[in-house]
Amino acid sequence: MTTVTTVAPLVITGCGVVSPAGVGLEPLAAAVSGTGREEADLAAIGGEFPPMPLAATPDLRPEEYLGRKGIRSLDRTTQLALVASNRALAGLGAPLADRDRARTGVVIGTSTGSIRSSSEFSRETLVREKPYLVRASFFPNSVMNFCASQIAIWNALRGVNATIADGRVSGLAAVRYARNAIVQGHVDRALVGAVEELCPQSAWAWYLSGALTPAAAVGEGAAVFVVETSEGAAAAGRAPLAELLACEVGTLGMSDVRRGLTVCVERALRRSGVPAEAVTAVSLSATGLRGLGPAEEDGVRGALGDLPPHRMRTAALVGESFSASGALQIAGLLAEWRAGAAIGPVALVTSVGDDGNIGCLVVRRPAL
Amino acid sequence: MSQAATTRYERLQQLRDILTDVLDLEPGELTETSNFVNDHGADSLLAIDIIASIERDMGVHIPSEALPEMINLNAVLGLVTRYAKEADLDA
Amino acid sequence: MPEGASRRVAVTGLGAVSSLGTGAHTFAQAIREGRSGVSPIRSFDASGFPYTFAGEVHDFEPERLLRRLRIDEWGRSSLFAASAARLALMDADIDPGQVSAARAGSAMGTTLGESAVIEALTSQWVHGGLKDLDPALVRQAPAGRIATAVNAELGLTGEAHTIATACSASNYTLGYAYDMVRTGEAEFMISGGADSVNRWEHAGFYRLGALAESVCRPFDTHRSGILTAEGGVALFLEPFEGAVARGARIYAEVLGYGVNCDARHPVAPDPTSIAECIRAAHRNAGVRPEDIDYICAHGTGTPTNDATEVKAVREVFGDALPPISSIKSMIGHTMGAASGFGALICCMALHDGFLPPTANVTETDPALGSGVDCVPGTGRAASPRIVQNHGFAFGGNNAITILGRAA
Repeated sequence: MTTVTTVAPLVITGCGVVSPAGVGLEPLAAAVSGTGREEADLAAIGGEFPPMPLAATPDLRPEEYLGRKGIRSLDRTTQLALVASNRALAGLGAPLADRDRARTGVVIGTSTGSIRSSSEFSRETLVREKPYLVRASFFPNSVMNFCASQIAIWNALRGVNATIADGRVSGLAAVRYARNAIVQGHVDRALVGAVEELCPQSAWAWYLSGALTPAAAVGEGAAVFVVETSEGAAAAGRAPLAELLACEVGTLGMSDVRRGLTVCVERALRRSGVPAEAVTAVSLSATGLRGLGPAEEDGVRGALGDLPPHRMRTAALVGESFSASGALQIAGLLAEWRAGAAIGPVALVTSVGDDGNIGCLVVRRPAL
Repeated sequence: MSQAATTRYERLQQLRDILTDVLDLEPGELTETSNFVNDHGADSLLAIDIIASIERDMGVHIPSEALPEMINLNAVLGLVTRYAKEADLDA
Repeated sequence: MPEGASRRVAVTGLGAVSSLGTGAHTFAQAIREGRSGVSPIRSFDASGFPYTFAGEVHDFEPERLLRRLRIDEWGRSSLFAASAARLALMDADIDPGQVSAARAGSAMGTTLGESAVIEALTSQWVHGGLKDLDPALVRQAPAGRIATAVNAELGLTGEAHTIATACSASNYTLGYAYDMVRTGEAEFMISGGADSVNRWEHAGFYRLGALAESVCRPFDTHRSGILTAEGGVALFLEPFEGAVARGARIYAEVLGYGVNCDARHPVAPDPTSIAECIRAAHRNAGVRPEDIDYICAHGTGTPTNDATEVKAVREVFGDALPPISSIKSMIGHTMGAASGFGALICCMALHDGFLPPTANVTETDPALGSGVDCVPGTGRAASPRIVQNHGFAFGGNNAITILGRAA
């Protein structure tokens, strides 16, 4: 029999988020309280977009955080994630010592890496006079692990370096993967998160798919967290921003999203040692997705009896960000706690994809 | 102005454009002796792209064995002049 | 000490869809004979390229292998993955209903995901604009479809991770799957990888000067680069005790793994960091260098990789190098599947008693130093007990797995 044990909580001690609300948790919290989102600056992104709502990170200036050197050749996916990583590490207070960087990993969720980079590189082979007249220095960008490996290179992080491409549940899958890497001693801590860039390729894909409701925007963003054991955080004098309890993901939704999510939530609660009635908030993922949104709510109801009193819909604020959605939901939750919102101490972050993948993470606010 | 001098000036300008683009530099940042690796953060991939751009825009093929010699603008100009000449002699 | 139960983990099923044939045993036989799966490229118009050879799977017939997936709904890499997984499950000779009813999932590696699908979409973009993208094709593009295809084909409801750590990805999946079964998070796991041959990768490697014209000869003095290649590979993992109890054929025991990152350069490998990864794998598996009887090399056949790899191995093993060979000499570089094919041949080597060869070697490069036995030519009868499987990647993503003979 597979064992069903209660997991030891991990903690988030640093958080970096870049979203259409801006850079950091404060703009995200302001967005929750209703400050309108800026018009997307599409000129800064470039290319022709479909006629639909779009949400872009306003005034993304990576040079402010990373310096000017060597950033132009980075695609937007990597820039977003590098800025989020930079902010997450900056939030630790003291920088990590070199020996700690050797024991720090990177786990990043992505849909297909930078789809803009790979398809533009592929395009060169068709439009150049010769198919091999591509730019060598852009080749690594076309490979999906480019972003995670750049985070490692920029920050000298030499532990496990994983790129997790699990579609819409990538953000939660990254948390699950990182939990194993940390708890099994492969690394002491990891930068964990997910990223998605707004680009014409993915915007047209959403437009043509017809999967979004008319008001839903295609968005983007990156959220990256420093995740470690509570003992590790305490030893380093780092205060936890949140506790990560069980994170369960799987293809339970292939035959029935509702039933699958109910099973997933129940299992995550059991493994967290948290009773259903203790859950005071839920962050839902499928806001703006036809069919999936209602199914996700029903799935949570199935496990809890009803939706908890506080429901967060991060995608309504930052747009549909596919593989980044789970990580941005966690950031959205941290933003509310930081802003002092009375949403209670235990929240679920759920995630569902149209491919049957679903996930549930239990997050707890640390005792003050 | 002699034919050769015009060619040298034109080549220099063309190379400046190529290098400024490939190495992602501000206009004026590149000098004839600024070092690609130490001053401009170049690596082997960018060196390959420099060779490729020269071949595409100037029609001069520099063999990859010459990569280690490409340390600054002057060195690249020398290589372009040398390999353009070899191509002429071959023709 | 790591938390959770610690169970021994067995590999009891193997599946391969390769340029050297379908099925693990067909594949392994061809490898032992030192045969080549390389041929002129057919999957795209390679006429504009100076080099036109790759390790393609020409006889791939997913409709003959798959029972559940609708072929026209999935991209080539996903079909490779699902087919290999189906073969591995059949090879494990276990009741499929028992597996799908248990907590079972998959972790599949890839470098470029559904690259053939993305290239088809790119072609539509070039010819008609982005508004002309085919929505049915768009649905097939996310890389996560690869592991999802495995779960859908086998009816699994556990996790389905597509791990995209480029060319070390399959070793990443084997390490993760091992941890899941070992700790009781899962009862059964499929690990492996899949990638498809495509223009952009061919162009990129050619541009880097890393592509061989038609022959890949790792460790040879005149090695000139890789050959791009494709395929799908899968390993079926279960608790060792359970495998013994049901009388399963146990190919190998997974002993442990190590993963790290150079954190230095997007494409240039770092021998010191690779050596550290080897040591981490040894620590995790509880073995010492002198216990290792064979190394299945990353062995891409580029001058840099092979020199760096041997240097790293020397840092750990001194001058007592175990035999080290590269199956990429026969099937080319299958990218995200590469270290999965390496793991599969390691399992076969442990079970059947042989060392896989490096084909196409006429002279082992003296610059690699003395004592490099790359098993040139054809396979060699031997009885390795513990072997080490290498996977390195762009971005400095290193992953090394350690496998042992079942005992």
